[in-house]
Amino acid sequence: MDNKGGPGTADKACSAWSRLRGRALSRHRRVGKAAVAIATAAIVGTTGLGSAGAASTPTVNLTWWTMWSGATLQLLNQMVTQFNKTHPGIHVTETNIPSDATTSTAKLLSAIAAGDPPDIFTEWWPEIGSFAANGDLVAMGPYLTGQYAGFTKWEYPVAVQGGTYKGNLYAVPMSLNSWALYYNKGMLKKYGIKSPPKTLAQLDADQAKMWVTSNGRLQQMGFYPDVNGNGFQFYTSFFNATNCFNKAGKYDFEHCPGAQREMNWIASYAKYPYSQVMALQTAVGQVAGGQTDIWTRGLAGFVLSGPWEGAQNVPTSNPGMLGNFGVEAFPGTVPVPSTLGQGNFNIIPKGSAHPQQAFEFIAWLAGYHNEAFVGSIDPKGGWVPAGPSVTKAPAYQAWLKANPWLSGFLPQMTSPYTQAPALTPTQSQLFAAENTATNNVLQKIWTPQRALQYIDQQGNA
Amino acid sequence: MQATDSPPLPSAPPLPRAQRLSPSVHRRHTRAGLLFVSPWVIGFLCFFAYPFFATIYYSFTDFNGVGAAKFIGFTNYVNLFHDPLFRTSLFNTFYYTACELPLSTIAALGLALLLNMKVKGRAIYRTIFYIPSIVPLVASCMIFVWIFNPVSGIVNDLLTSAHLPAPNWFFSIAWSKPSFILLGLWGLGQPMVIYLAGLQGVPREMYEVAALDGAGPWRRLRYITIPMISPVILFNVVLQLVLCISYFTQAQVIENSDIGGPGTSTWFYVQYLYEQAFQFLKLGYSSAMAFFLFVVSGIIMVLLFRSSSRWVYYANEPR
Amino acid sequence: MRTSRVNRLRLVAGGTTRHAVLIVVSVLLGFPLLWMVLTSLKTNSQALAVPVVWWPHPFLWQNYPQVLSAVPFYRFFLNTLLYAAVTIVGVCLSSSLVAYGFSRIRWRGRDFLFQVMVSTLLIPFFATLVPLFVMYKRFHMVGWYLPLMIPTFLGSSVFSTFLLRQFFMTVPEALSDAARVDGANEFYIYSRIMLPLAKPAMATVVLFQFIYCWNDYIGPLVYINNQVWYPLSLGLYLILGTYTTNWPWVMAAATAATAPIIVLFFLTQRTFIQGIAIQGTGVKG
Repeated sequence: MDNKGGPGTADKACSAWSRLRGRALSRHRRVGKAAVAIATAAIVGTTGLGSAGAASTPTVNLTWWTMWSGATLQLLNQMVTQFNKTHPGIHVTETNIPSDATTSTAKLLSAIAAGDPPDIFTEWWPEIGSFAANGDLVAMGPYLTGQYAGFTKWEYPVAVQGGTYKGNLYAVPMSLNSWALYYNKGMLKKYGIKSPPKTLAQLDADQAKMWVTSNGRLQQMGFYPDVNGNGFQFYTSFFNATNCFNKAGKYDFEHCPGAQREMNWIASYAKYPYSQVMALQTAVGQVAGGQTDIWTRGLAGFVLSGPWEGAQNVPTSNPGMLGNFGVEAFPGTVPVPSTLGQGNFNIIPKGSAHPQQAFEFIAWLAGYHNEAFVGSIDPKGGWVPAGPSVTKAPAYQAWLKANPWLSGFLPQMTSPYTQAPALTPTQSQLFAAENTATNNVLQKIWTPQRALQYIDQQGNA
Repeated sequence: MQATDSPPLPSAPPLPRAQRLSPSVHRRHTRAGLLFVSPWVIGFLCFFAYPFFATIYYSFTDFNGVGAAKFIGFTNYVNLFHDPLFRTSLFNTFYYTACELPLSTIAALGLALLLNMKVKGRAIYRTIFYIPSIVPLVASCMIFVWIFNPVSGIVNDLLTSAHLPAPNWFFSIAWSKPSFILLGLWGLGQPMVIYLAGLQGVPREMYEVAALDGAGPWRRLRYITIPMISPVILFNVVLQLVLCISYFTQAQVIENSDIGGPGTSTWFYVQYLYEQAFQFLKLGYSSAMAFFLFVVSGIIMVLLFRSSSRWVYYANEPR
Repeated sequence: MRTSRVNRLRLVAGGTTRHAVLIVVSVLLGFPLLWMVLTSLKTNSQALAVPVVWWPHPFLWQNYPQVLSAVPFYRFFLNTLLYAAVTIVGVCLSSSLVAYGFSRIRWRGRDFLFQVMVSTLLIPFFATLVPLFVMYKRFHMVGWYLPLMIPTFLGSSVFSTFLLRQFFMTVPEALSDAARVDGANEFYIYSRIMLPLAKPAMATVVLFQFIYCWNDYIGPLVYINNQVWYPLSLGLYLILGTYTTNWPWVMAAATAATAPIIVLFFLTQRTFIQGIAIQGTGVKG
């Protein structure tokens, strides 16, 4: 068994050597073969490497980088298949880079710098300003002619606002987010609340009744500003604090009355146990790839969220909640309704070989001259489209009819109080700073004023 | 039975003293030897020597990975020392190392001492003690975050039913670092096995003589075991130190999945380096961080090896 | 008579205490894994129940196929095997060559170079990462496993080289001398005598490299972009980011990624433990 120590004497070893000579070779060959077989299986068995380019007609090949996984990824695949079917001259290949936004961003930037970027990239808006300022993006203006002349008029105004930097259009959303206050009807009833809150003070008072702790462990809560990663940023439109600049054009949240009101309101929730809320959120799940959260589990009275909450999360994770919830415009200090105009924007990185076709694909994804198809996909994702005409598509209308609670999400898209954050080169630093500020205020590490100073400092760096 | 518990360790017999070889034979040997080690020499030049000097060079530049690196002198280093996150991450790494290094040494040595006792079924215990260290790191992060969840985890459930304080573990600023230290203490199989091999190399007679002299277990540990295995301790401490200094995977997995590590309370040095390099593409800045890391770990290693002459005892060396 | 009985009593009591201590420590160390498996078989509401539900009822085996098909887990598995297979070939080839050169041939500068090699173990991975990344980027190698595979063909696995060198040094010189007298050159001796003899040591090297690849997270994180090429470690991370809503699923994925490595450990325990022990005791200061 144990021949590790090696043969004892040289003689024995020599004869062992002559015996081993023959065998060693065949053994080596077998090991080599096994390795090759595994390698081939891994390469051949799974992707059609090289099969994409095998078409006989000269097609334009586009690559699209996305960062979703799970159910959303399947929707994107459906859209790519449909596009390839209806556009014989163009073939889109989707590459999935599932990671947090900053990592995808770095991968995009290094691909641009190396001269090998994708043709289309989907980005949450915070980076678009810095990309555009650095000249990493193709401006879409030149393509807004012919059948695309009316494109920006076709979009919601916030979609245009969120995709424009210094007067040039750089990004088009394939879907927009719209935020409102979800409430749990059963919990309202249980705590004797007759109707959903119409004012901020009412929300604060109603939710306060719902916190339950047993044995020092949080079991149920009312409302908390920081669940699902919804920090300062997501409430700005309700306080008229989305775009706080001073006369010199610098961020100035510290002296912005709306921002002060908002941060003080967030600070009023510091009386609840931050760590326990985060732990509860991790235990029951968080929104990632369109999943679930404390509210969908029936463990929170209220949550700020978008249409996907009721359309996707509730049916998949807690069907018992269907019919037991309602949606109201979120009450802030500005008149209702309003919301933060924000979404999933498609951009064309500098260096794309086929920007014209890339734009064609982007406009198609948004639903431009493609209302019927996108109108049938958006309900599955719980998305608000980039332009109002998609909502007129029969499939979308049927969805709205079947889910009356959705009615609140569309009118606020055109409300004068709805804002998209102005694109700036430091938007992502600002966004990160706003999250840090929110966390630190809720953990009583910073005063609201200190937090706003930090946001300005990072945003203007 | 005995064989499974104490593997026969091939100890290197000294090669015969080099005979006087003729210069031509000598040259031939040198050529053959170099040829055999040439893969490593090439690898060393490409993967250590070049990157080492390139890191120093990049650290004086503004560089995003493509195109030319722009020389900016000491700017990166100046910025580094004014960067609060740099200081935070350095402090966190220091905190982690200062706690983890002694605790893991004591724990791994303790486990090895337990396994070195004469009891039946040692092999089974050894297996159980060792297994946590081969669990994939991402999986062990998942497990720890789950069992230490303050709201639904089993640990706090047991603590509260025993009327003990139940901290918020990975979710609180005060307890997040200790949580990571606990996670680190779970996977000590490797140093444990090395200690065990070292313990089994200590001659039994020494204990017997000491017992005759009336030395208790503590004195035997202090005056026989520890000096005898001190080279092994040094070896393990050095390896653990390298691991602590480049602590990354666990913190990155847990923080990026938003399942713990509030704020910057568990933001470690190489995590910050990684973020600067691969998320913001500030390769010059991160190279400055890398060089700083290299210098600091170099100083620590030198100090450690210097001090080792005082406490490491080599049996076959004239004192 | 009396003293011997006391002694025996003390011995029995001592044995019991020892077992008690060992069992307590075993439970502490083994519990997380046990809890992982138990959670993986629960429904989500059982997993979250307060007070804690200890035993799953019923055993929800379908958690496994469900989570493993929610992401391309089998693909990740194959990717990991590919990564391991190629690097194992690389490590076995290069480490044995280098180890031979460091042990079986006497030449000036050998021991100095060996010291240099061992001291590279002390350099943190991140200290050299940035220029390497830039270099691979220039050669358009980022995005696939090449940056992780190439170094293994160039002796990057210091531990394997070290282990094989330790082994080669135990083989009597007379063996090589006999072959040399026959007119065999060094490469012949290496490939036809030493390699066949080194099979047990090679097995250890293969095993460790396999486990290294199975658990490697940082390398793929830096160099692999596309999800279709993810190894298991990144796949697990993906599951953690996507399905924390369902802890039984997360635990099922963790179990599925851990089980093969534990089975492998059981099958190869001796090789394994010996390999680590050699690593530790062979190093002198």
